[in-house]
Amino acid sequence: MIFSSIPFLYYFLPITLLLYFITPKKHKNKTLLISSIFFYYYGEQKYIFLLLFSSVFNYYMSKMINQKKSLLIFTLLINFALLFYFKYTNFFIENINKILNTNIKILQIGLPIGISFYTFQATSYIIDVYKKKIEPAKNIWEFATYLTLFPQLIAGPIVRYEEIAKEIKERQTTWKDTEKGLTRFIIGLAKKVIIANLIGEFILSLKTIQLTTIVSSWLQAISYTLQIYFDFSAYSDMAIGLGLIFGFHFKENFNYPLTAKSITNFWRKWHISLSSWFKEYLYIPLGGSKKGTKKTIRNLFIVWITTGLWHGANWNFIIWGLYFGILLILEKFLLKKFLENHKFLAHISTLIMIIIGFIIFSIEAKEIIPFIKNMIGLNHLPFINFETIFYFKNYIILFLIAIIGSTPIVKKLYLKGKEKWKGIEMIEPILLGTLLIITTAFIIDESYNPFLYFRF
Amino acid sequence: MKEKITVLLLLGILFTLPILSIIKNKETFSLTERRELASIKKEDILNFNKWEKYLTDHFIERENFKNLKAFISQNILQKKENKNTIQIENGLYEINNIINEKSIVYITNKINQIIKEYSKTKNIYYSIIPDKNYYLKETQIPKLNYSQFFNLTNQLLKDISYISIVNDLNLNSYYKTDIHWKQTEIIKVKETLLKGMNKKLLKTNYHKEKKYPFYGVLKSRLSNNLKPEEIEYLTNDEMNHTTVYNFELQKYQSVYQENFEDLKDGYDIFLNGATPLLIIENQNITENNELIIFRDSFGSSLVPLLIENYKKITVIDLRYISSSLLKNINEITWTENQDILFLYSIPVINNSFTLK
Repeated sequence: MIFSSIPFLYYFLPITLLLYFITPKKHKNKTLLISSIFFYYYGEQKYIFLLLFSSVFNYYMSKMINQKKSLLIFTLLINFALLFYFKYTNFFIENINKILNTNIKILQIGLPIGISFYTFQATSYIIDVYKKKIEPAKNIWEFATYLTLFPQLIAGPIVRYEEIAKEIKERQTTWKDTEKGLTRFIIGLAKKVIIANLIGEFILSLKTIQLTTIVSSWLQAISYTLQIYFDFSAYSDMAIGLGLIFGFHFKENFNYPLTAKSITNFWRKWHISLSSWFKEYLYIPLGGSKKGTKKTIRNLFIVWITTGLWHGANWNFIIWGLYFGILLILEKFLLKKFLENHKFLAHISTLIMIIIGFIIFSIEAKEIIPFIKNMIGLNHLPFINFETIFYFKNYIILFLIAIIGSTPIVKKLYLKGKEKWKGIEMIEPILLGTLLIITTAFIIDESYNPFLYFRF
Repeated sequence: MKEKITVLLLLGILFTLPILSIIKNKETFSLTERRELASIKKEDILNFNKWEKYLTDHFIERENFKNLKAFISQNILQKKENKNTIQIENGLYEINNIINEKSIVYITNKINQIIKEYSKTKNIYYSIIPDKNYYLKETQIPKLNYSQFFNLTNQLLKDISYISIVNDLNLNSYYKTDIHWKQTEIIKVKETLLKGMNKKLLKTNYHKEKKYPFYGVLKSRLSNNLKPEEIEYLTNDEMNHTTVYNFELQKYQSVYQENFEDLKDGYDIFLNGATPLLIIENQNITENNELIIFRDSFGSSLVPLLIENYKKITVIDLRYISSSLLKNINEITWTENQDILFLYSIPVINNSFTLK
């Protein structure tokens, strides 16, 4: 079930809220667990057993692990083996067939929704229990509630057990948190339904242009970045908002990443929960940057190829990971001072690098070079034509809203306005109610509402 | 205080709208979209995709929500189009600028296959009905590459005689709020087709009849102030001596539907709209003069104008009957002297996978 749908918004959510708030305190986790399992089953009937297995297996292993390295390795192996089998087997078979000219049959397996997210949550929990950073969950209900928690189950953020361990046991729901949560959820919903989906429509329109132009290539490239940012950050907003409604305080996952002044800075602001997972559970155990330049470079390459692969079993994701790995190495060892001293240039070049990164992310590996050639005019394309102008004019307001919305300008202006005119706060409920009605209208009449995370 | 107001207001919306959706009367058909609304059968009870469509289709005030979306898109976001539909001057147009080559290959293969399997005559023709975008200027909306479209189709149907009707139409030949042509504006088309099929042009006195209001299929896709249109249709004495047998309903019907007010789509006034097979017989004609026409919805308004030229017209719509079943239908006769006409519009040729 996706958040931006009528069944979720107007049926699942109110029923879950009602059941949750009428359930006695000691059984609230069970209500959440049952709701989360139904939420998952609605979208993924075939592989629900995997999620249930992961919950039971990791819970009991955490009870037995007690600093036994062999058990830790065994548990991690099982978790990653399942992830590998479902996510990467066919990719490896396809490549083996290509390289060795063999004819191994492709397996009839689909990618279970959210497997990358819950596997990473489960493994972080197991490692933290092994390292005695956290106590194992008190009972299976607590752990299963954590692992299957529907707000962040299928599209993150990757929440570590230590972050919400206290709240799993005991949490308060207050008017303030519920208000904040609903506000955050509705803003996220509007970001997804109005901005990300319409930018997606803009991309589809640009793809229909009979003769691609340099300008249409640039618009498409920028739109890829905006679509992925608004889609993904909107899901995080909605997850954080839903968490708050139920009394959970998830960490921020995005912090205006398109305002970054370097790629290093960008990865501190983009999908923060994933970056910190890789840092904590892969980069640092490999030795991080404390074992000399060569090993640091090796570690960065390992981390970024893995980050690329985590996003999907396809060459473009590996290239995407490598691309960012190389940029980060260059920044770390060569460009750090230059970027610090030339902030404007740093910002522009970072933006261009990010845009190129999301071209790699969005299209097939074989199309990347021709696409970039189109952008820099190496394919003898016209600069602009009627169709490009027509579609750009059609989406220009949305495009500007998206660009401004990707910066903290609106938030800052609103907060300033709030300081000046105290009364503005009182129209917030009306604004939010109107936004909810408008997003509902867009959901009802949607023609494009993709679920971008099916390959994660 | 503000927190409580916000929470109660938002939860109020989240709880009230689904309750109202459940208790309101269930409609089964969307007049503005010309489609059945989703329904849930017993066997679909665990099919969540169907539930999603059902709950969305039956949401309270769905039409008003759709209008709100169109209004916001056009007036706040300043988008010129909504749901791929755009208003230019007083007309609505559906943007389509992608040639679907696979679809063209599919329909032309089907036509060639039908000819090979059934036809005994050499009098086989085809014609392509341009969509109304064809008559817009190049700089008004993104358009299909029409010359490429016609070339590709003609290339794949090179063994059949092509009758071009593109010069017999203009923007006024089409309804402003609909994709279809007006019957009163296709007399030239009729003449070109008959000439192309070597038929005599008979002098005919048509009487114009009118029905009102007609809301075209594009009307609801866009927030607009366009008024409903009139549907005009042409009658003559010949039609009084004509029988129309509807194979699907197993009964005779009239050339024009009389219950216009009850029609889900006003354009269904012509020959009862979408139906798999009609046998039209003109009792006034004695010579054995037959036409088999394979058509889409545009054909419904054209066929009545051909009645005076043929003793029997067999009207086949492959969207509703499989071509493989035609051999089992005794009412369809395949003779050496008959004419066969394949008359399809560009939107159907470019999206032909619905043909069976």
